Amino acid sequence: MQLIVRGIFWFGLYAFLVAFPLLVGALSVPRSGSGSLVVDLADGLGYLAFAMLALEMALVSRMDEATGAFGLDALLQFHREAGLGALLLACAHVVLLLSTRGYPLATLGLGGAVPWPIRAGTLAAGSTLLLVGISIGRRRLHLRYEAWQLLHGLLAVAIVGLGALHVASLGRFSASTPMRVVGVLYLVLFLGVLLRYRVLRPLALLRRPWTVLSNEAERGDARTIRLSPVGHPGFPFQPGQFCWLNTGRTPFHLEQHPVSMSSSGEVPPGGAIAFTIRHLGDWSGKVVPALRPGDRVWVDGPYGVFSPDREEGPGYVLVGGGVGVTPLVSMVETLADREDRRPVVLFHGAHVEADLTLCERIEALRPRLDLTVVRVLEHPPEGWSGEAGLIDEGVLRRHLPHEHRRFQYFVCGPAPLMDAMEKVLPTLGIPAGRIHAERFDMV
Amino acid sequence: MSHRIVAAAVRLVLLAFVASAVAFALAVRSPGRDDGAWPVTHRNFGARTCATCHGR
Repeated sequence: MQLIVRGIFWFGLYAFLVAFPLLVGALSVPRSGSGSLVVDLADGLGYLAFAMLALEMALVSRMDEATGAFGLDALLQFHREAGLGALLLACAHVVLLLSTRGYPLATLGLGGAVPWPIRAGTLAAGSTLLLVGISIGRRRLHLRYEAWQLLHGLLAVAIVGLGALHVASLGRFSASTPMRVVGVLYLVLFLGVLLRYRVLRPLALLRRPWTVLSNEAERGDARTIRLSPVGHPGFPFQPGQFCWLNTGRTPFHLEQHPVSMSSSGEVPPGGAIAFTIRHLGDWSGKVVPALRPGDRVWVDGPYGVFSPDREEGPGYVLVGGGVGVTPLVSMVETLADREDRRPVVLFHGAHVEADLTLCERIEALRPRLDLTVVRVLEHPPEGWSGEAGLIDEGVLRRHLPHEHRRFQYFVCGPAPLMDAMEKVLPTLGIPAGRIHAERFDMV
Repeated sequence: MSHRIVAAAVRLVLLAFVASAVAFALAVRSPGRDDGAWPVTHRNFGARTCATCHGR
């Protein structure tokens, strides 16, 4: 199936699954509303909010079929924004009900006088608010990523559990048999996704361990770890893809981190793969440097659609900032291994020279490729012969080849660089369909 | 995929959901009654007195 058709199918399925309970409610309980348009509208919004929240986990449960259509970074962004949208709908549900004379403000209290199904709904809405709050403000709250990840998972399960109690015991539409069937189906769907994501997938990984071969320091406060499959052939991957790394004792460990491969995608069965990881938090700053040869690691992947293998062109322009150069290095190494002689222009940006991660490996590839490397330093040293400042329109214009409009563009780096490129590249005549970006600035 | 496309898709789907909630409210509405509604809490917990929840 073509990617666009698959995309429309999954997007349509999501919208259908969210709105389906309303359709069943409207058809199965005719003319049984509360008598108030406001209350019925509030109920409708409540059902939608709950369905959206129940489907949030499915969006990020790494279903190969859906990730292949959109890319996991797009699904993660959809998950974030849909979660915010569900919170808005839940808030509208509460505000509309409070605006009617039947629901005083005291209904939101958690005291014994308030019926427990209402308290369950209040707790679910409060948990949603807390989850969104810690996700948006994690850095400002100085909440460690690992702690956020655990809290996020616990709150998500609590929200769906409390929300299900609230809807099943209180919603008057839920009392009808068709709606009860729909409710059970959605609960089975949620539990099925949870089972697949948190039990079956780790069980499969348990049979496919990887071991650390080496762990080396790189420029830019980064480290490259090389991993070898143990008792299995590993997997092929497309350059630019990434995996979720888990360094816990078992793959059931909740803490996982998305990391791009930095080695060639032309890996033979049983061959090693490499990941380059920058110190950005407790895991990358403490756990990764402490990995020793022989240590066990669990690798879930590969994922991602950010790859030249999916975007054929007469040449490639790669724009990387900081550790965002990692998947681009995988791309050029793969092209070199394939003896691909199509022109490649790599713009490599960093704050200072010492931050040019993997620049030696890139340099070593030059003789094997038609590769132009443009290094751009924000704070160049004295006597620097490369570009200075940020990667902007001027830098691109000075170095892009004449036929650059037909090339494919891959951009990976900090959000400001991605935002700038998404604005600048179209002004250079690059069609949007040839600009590919991957963002993993998750929370 | 551009993050702007994703953001636009989320807004579009949210608008569609709100429209479907309005359609739902209109579809289930009982004709001739719009009294400000004694809500569902009072149906399911009818055995309680007003004072149970409202203190009056």
